Amino acid sequence: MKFVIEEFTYVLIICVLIINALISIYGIVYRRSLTKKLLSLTVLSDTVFVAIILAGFIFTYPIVPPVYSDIRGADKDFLLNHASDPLPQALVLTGIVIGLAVNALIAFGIIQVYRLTGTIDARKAVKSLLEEGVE
Amino acid sequence: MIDIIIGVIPFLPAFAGFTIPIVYLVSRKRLVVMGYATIILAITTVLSAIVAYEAFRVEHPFVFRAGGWPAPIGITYIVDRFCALIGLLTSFIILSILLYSISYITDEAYPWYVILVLGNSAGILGVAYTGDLFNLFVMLEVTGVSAYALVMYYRNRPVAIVSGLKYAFIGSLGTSLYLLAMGLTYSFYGTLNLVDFSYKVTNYIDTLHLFAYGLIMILALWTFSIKSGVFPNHFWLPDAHPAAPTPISALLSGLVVNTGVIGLYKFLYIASWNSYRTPLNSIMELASLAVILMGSLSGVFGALLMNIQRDVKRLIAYSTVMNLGFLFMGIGCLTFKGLQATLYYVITHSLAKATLFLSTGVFIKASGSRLLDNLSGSGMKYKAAGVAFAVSTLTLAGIPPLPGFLAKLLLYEALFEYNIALAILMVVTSAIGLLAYMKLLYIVLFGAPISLFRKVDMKLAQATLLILTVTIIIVGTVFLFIPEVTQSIIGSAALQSTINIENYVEYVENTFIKP
Repeated sequence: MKFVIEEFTYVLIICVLIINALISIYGIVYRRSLTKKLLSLTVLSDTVFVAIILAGFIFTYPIVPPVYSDIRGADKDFLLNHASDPLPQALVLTGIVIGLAVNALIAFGIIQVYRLTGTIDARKAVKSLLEEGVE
Repeated sequence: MIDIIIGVIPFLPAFAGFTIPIVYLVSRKRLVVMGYATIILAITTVLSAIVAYEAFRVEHPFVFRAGGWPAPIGITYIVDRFCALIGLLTSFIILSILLYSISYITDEAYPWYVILVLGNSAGILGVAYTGDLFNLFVMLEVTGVSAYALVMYYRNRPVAIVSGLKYAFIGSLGTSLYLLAMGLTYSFYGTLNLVDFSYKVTNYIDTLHLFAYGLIMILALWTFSIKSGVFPNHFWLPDAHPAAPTPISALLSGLVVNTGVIGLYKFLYIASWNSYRTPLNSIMELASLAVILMGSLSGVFGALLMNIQRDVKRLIAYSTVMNLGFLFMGIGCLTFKGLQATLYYVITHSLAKATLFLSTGVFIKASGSRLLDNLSGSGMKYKAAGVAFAVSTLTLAGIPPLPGFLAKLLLYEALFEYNIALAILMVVTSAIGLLAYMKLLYIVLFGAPISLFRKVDMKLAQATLLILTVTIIIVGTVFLFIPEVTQSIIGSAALQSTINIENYVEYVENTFIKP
């Protein structure tokens, strides 16, 4: 019984992640508002982070932190069965830090577009600049 | 000793970038800040030249273990001959771009400019040298973030900001997908190391793993096509590259687009060398076909759209789309000849494209306009820039004594082995591109001057352009007329990563185990 619930949860999470990713890609490509594009981008990267966390996750109880308390390996088997893989979490941490830089830069760009053209609609902003060929 | 140098090379520019604010606050002089960055990049160039020299002296690639950790756990840098040559090319071109910028970037925001250029060079060098798939992601993002910011350098111009945002959105969409591919790689194969991955791939060949492998390939390919600006994802490139300051256009068009090609090299050649013996072979063939089709469509698109541009920088940007299409066609062959052609084409294209953009920058500064008609006759006014312009345009067009001819010839031979129709398509595409190059050359050099040219003082820029021109001519003549040199540099580099790949990965695998 427990196994069935685990399987179900796993499939459900994966389906949710796929739907999330598709919606956010739609948002980035087709939404006109630059802020909504930015929101979609953060949703997409968070979806990817959750997917990576899921890769190292263990459905079990109790969950312990992945730290050796006894180096001679007395609790090694226990640790292997009850601790999540720490490496995907390290990857996600790196990804979050990098994503922060990109999001801050894009947010700055959106503010600057609003200051210069008075709109945050991507297509209107493009139309309002017909000064091509100036250096 | 050499492995320490490999570890230092990507981090020297990054370190210099972080110390630029201190130098600026102490001196507050443009020449001091720019000179500091130039010296650091000159050191990087010398170091990468040493690495390239050493890489050709020994048979095996060099392995650097960051922090001394053994391989599947720690990050490794693997430098083979291909990567060493790309690293040397990158640091040399960035050095000349920075020298050029000393006389081009004269506004108040120059410290930011220098920081971002240094960060960008650290990213590209990291992409070239890394042997770890996740580190490749980090380095792609370092390159990407600094490139987005550099496109937005003129922050009071709406064009620059909007094109930079377009680039940033599509670029970070790509890297998010690459991160997903890394998650899949780790959860299905349990490793992120390039060589370790290539061994582990063959152990799991059930349906689920085949599916995962295909998905990883699709996501990685999509990301690299975005990074290179190749056909379905080329739309950001003709907006973003012209909106940046001209030296940055040279940096983006000459070097940043190479990151996609290097990534494909690492995925298709190093990480998948072992998959030919397994059912994964069919996936590899599909990936190769997809890369070549994307490349050929991109070539046709770029060549056709080049002919209708009125803005000179947009024209050169479409030429980048076309040439990156050719590079993808070369790297998709998955053969010795394909890699050889790709390597030589990368070198030729980067040198010529950077020179072309930099020389156009002189004319644009003089005439105050980017429209092709207003630039007519400016090539005769500035002799050094005019010579550089002529040489680089003829190189890109593929006129015989210059290196572009040999590059196109090698590519033609490689494609001829793959499929004769693609080889003919490539020749026809080059011919369409040639029309646009000739129009550009004729208008700029021999057109009647219609606008009043301002007097610009760009002696250093013109000297840099002459150095680059001489480099192009030397590269062209030496490689074309002395086949032994071509064989011992380009040929042996391609040989190491295609035919002798087994020795390559075995050496790397053995160095992992040693503490």
